[in-house]
Amino acid sequence: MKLVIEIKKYLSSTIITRKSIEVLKAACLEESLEFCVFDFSEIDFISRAFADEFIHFIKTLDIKTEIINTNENVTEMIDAVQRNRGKRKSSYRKIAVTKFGKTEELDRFLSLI
Amino acid sequence: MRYEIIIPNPGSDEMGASFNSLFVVLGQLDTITINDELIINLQDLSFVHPFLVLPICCFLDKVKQQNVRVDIINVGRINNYLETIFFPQGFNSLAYDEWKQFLLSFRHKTYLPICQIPVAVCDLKMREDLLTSFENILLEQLRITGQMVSVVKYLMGEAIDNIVDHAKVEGGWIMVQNYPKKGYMDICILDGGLGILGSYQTNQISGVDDDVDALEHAVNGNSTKKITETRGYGIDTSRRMLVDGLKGKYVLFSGAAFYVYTNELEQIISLDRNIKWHGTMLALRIPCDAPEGFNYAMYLE
Repeated sequence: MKLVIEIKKYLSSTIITRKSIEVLKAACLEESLEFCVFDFSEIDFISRAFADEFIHFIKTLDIKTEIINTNENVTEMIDAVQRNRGKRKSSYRKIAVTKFGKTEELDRFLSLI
Repeated sequence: MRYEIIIPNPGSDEMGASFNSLFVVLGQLDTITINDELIINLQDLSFVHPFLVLPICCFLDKVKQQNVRVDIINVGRINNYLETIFFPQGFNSLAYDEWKQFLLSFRHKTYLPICQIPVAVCDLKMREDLLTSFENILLEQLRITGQMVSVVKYLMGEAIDNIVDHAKVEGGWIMVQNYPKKGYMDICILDGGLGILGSYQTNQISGVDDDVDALEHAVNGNSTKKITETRGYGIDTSRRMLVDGLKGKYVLFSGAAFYVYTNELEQIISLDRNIKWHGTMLALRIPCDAPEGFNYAMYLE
């Protein structure tokens, strides 16, 4: 069975949070589902956080999936997430830490911002 | 006990000036406890900076739940403005059926009301709708177009998702002030929840022993969640996009640690224990225009 999910019917044109994925999960509960098409028409923007959850979700669905009608923003975000799956930064950067002994020193620092 | 705190006027639009005033206030609020009385005196305040005012709103909301009686006095010349921006209670979209129409009334102004961000799962659609409307009005106020639209949405989206995903609170807060003549906008997004250290500790992530460690790990993109290597990009990407790319300013304040990243410096300040933000506060100064050569997509990971 094929299902086309028009995301605009479930979520706003800007999709921000990871938890938004719960709405799409609920929409895909059909047991005999073999093929799911996610239609992103009229979706202006998705956050990286949501894109990460979305890619993770469709990979766990274990059925054929297709993503259609993505605008440039949505395409860039999904591509960025997919490009970096499995990669992780191995380096850790130490950042300079300062503790000011006097209030005047903190004031001086804050005047630099 | 009864406490009266005079909010110091920052005296300039510089980010540091707001934080200077905020630290003075936080240092005095540290001892407030259940059933106390708190007087907030605004006699010196001549302008409402988000980085000073929004944390005060969040703090007052929290202490009211602890039966602290709060009075705000000497609002004087800024009284009308404070009422317009819903200080200190914040605009709660859940309490207004016509919230969208109400927010639209701000689209020709240079500010938006202080807004509460609903976090509960049952408020998901409302939250996403509210934030979409908020962002679109903000972009319309400053006539932002092109890839700066994506930048603003990215920066706000990652910050708000961090509140929803990590803070363990009922709500977050957001406040925006535009400076069209100066060519930038200030966005403050915060919560009064676990804080970054609390989030690492709750998820039993080892090697994060204090607020300074927590900020350093967060800036390095180490997720507070044990699952999957695809997390942890929001803070790191946001700060690089804003500062390296746009020459903006990025400040993250959680617990007794304060991270600053600008074109001129990057530092974590370890604060005295009585100057502490119980939660996480993000302060962004975002230029309205992107420099030549800026490419938003280059920063996406």
